Amino acid sequence: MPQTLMKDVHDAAEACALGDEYVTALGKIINSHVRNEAAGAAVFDEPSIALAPTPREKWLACRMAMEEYGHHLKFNKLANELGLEDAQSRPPLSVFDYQVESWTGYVMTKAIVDLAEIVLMEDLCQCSYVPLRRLCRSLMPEERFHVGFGTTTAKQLAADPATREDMRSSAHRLITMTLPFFGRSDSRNNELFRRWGIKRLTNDEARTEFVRRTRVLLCDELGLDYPEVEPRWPGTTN
Amino acid sequence: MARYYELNAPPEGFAVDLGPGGDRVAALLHGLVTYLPPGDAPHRAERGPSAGRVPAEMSGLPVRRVDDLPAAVLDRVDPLWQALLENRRSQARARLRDADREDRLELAEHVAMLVATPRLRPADPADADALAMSGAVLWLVGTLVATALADDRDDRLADLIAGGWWPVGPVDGAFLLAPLDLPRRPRHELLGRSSHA
Ligand SMILES: [Fe+2]
Ligand SMILES: [Fe+2]
Repeated sequence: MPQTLMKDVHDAAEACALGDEYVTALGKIINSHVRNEAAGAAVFDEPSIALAPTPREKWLACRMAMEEYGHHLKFNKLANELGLEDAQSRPPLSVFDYQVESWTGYVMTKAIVDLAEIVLMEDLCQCSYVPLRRLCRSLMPEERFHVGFGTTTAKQLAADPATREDMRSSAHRLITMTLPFFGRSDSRNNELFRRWGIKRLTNDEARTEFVRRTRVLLCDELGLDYPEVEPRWPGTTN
Repeated sequence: MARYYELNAPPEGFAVDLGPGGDRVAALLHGLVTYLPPGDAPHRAERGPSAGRVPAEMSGLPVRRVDDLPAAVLDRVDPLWQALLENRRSQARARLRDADREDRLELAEHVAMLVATPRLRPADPADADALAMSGAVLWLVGTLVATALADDRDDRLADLIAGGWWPVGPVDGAFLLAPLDLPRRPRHELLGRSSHA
């Protein structure tokens, strides 16, 4: 791979001065977060407020829904500063086709899909584009809370035989559906992201990290089996 | 719809833009702005809620003011009261849809979310109790925004928020009211305080 960009890019004007390739690459990353944060809030969080079994859980779901929508707007603001096309003109990733039908299903989206988000954002916390780096760093405490909520609640649900099977099947489905989230194994986009210092990890490295962490969650913390997964993703991601 | 990414307060002309009930939504949000510091500012304890606006009873129950809400109390908020409000919210939303005012509701909710979410961010992002309290206020604000737009009539819950109170709901035979900024208060400030006023 050719030389990696090592310097910090402080704002939209500096990004534009580096040329179209850098701005387009940044745009792909930022817009995918614009879409996916909005889809997460609309498809997972908002409908789940009504599924919460107790007032306290309802309120937590409400707080998380508002935070995800807030994340969407913050990424949207970055997109706007860079003069990017409207992110909503493309569909969100296929993991958002997952139907949340139960409170258990929702809890597992927070434990698993938000964990995927954390793996991606941790990489972006080193990004060459400083506004994106700063944004991701500022969102990490909230994302960690979402995953912590999912994990803690999942442990309680795992102890109850009535919810255990629903939890297992939700977890398996979500993990399988989330793997494409990390992009194709031989992605030309990812090569560009790394060359421009936007990302450090290859798609397969990020996917492997996600598999490692969800394996700890399922097998070590919840006492479940892990679905059979392919660590590489040769297909397309929408 | 106007696109806002960040708002410290409702934008100019917001109430008029919303049409009927817009003034009420704006008053509700001004309560949040008055009694909650901006999201990036440290919590300031000096502004207490307005004592003059506290009714003696709510929902047929005596009102009890509390300075803190331990998790065990929060867990005992009557789920029926919550279901009742949820029902009011969905009816209000349906009426707004039928009246072709869905875009007004969307604008009101968008602005409410932008104004309220950062102002209700707990001092400690990992404090689950404070996050639950924060979510409770957000949930109530979302409900009251919809009902204010749909009904355009006086609402004691909305009045309490405008006066700096969070109407928590019925717990053990009393209707609890807490300061609106409770989710923002650093937990160490609450230690050692009595649980009621
Ligand atoms: Fe998020
Ligand atoms: Fe999240």
